[in-house]
Amino acid sequence: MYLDIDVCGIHLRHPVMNASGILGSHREHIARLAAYGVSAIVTKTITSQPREGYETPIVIELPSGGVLNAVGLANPGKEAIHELVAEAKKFGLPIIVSIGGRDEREFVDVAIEAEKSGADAIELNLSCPHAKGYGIEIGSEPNIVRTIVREVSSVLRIPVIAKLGICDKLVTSASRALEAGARALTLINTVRAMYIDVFSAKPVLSNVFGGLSGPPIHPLAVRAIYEVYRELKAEIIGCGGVYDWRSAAEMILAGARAVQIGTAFIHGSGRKVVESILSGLREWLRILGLKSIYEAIGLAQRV
Amino acid sequence: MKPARIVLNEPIAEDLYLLEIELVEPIDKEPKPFQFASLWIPRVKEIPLSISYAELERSRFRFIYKLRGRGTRALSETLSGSFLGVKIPLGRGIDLRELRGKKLLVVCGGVGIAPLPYLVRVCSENGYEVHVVCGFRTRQGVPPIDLVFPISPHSVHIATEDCSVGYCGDALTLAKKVSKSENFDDLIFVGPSFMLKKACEEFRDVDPMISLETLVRCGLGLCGSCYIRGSTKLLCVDGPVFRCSEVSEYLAGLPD
Repeated sequence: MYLDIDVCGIHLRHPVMNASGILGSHREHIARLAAYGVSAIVTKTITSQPREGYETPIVIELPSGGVLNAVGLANPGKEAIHELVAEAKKFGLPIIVSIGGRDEREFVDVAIEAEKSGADAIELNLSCPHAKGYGIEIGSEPNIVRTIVREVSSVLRIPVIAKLGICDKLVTSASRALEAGARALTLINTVRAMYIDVFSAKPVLSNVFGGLSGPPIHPLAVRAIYEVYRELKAEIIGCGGVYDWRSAAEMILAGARAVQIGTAFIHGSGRKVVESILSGLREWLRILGLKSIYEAIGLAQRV
Repeated sequence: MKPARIVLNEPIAEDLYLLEIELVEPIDKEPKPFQFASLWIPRVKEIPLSISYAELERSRFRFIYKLRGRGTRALSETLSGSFLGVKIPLGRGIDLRELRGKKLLVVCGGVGIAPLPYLVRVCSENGYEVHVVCGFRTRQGVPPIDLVFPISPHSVHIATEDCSVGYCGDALTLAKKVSKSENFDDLIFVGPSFMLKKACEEFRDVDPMISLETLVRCGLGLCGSCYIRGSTKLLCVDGPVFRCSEVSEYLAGLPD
């Protein structure tokens, strides 16, 4: 059964890539992600200047399942993009550079560096829920989304992907992003959340608030993909709580053509997770009598 | 992050503390030697520490830590009875079966002694012999060996650089002497990075194991802060113990 798929014109040998923020900020991380077997590398969100990120705790596993993080967009800055791209190319993998910024100028600045370095696409992080002045603070406003996507798209030849998060005007933001030139959407980012330790009676993340990921947000992601695909028939990369072939298949049925994995790569389990998703998807397509992923995209829209 | 309560937290040598915690809820998986924990001092930070000793049936874990910065200082000022959060166990640790035999020489410098008591316990339960060489700068830095090791190693050799206790010199020099007088099946070094680098050079022919320290942030294999330069390894999931040959590019980049 063929699992290969094109996402904004980039050919992927299967639909599973890593989510931004999982490794992806050093040369060594790229090699590790390649060993996990992903079909494309997504870098950690890169900003113009290096960022230290927050004090620990930055990531915690929750007793109810799922993970909460507030890393604070720690990244080596745009100077590192070249090395990350070169490393991905060594493994013959497409690389999508995730970009963060406070305004369209910063996005454009990093995007140009990514294109110059040979990146295959960029993903605009318009949805990080915990970095002040970045992410969802700008991404939940459809007109700002339009401005940023337009400014970036107008100076790049490589495809622009807009990563949006859960917010009231998600479909509107998605629509504006596509009008402004985005070739695909990544849905969704982590969801703003917090965790309190009941014995010390204190919030655990140093930043207090963070982004929730993992299985608890999967139904939110499926809903977001379903709604956006229904209205816009866009190319969508599903992200949020995928941990096995079923949770990936659900996203494809909702309208995604590829998926990104983050939390399920916890404790270094990447290779096993990717392999089991791929073999599960092949078997699933066979059971449904479908010849490829293409035939499954958005199938659940026919109700 | 599991809640835990401090049972004991006291100095045992200059700038060296012994900490014992009790988990609020038990865990059922016996840790492996050299696995570590990340202790959260509420609203201060998390600090990664080797597991010094574990008594699973009582949900008790011991750590030996050195005052280094803001985190360890705050920990040293945290009173018995206070609550902490703990990620435990982290890392791969070592499986005794990957050792080349049952007679081990373990060489530590300073606070590198921390993971040894638990290693000694697991080894002695499985019929392994652990001989220990420990180096310290001065007499004030030497903790009471009986207190540190609930189960005694087969032998303990102490070295001090100021020649005030035991062998006069550093741990590596004493280790060379000990390993010449007796045969060991495998060697493990735990200590500051310059010591590990030197150990890998001086014991190159036997490719010993070394326990590395890198910046650990998330501890879960996600953030990648603890990547080992020139390899695909992450300390927090694959480490902290490696053969010298597995991390040669990393070692080459360390200062002498």
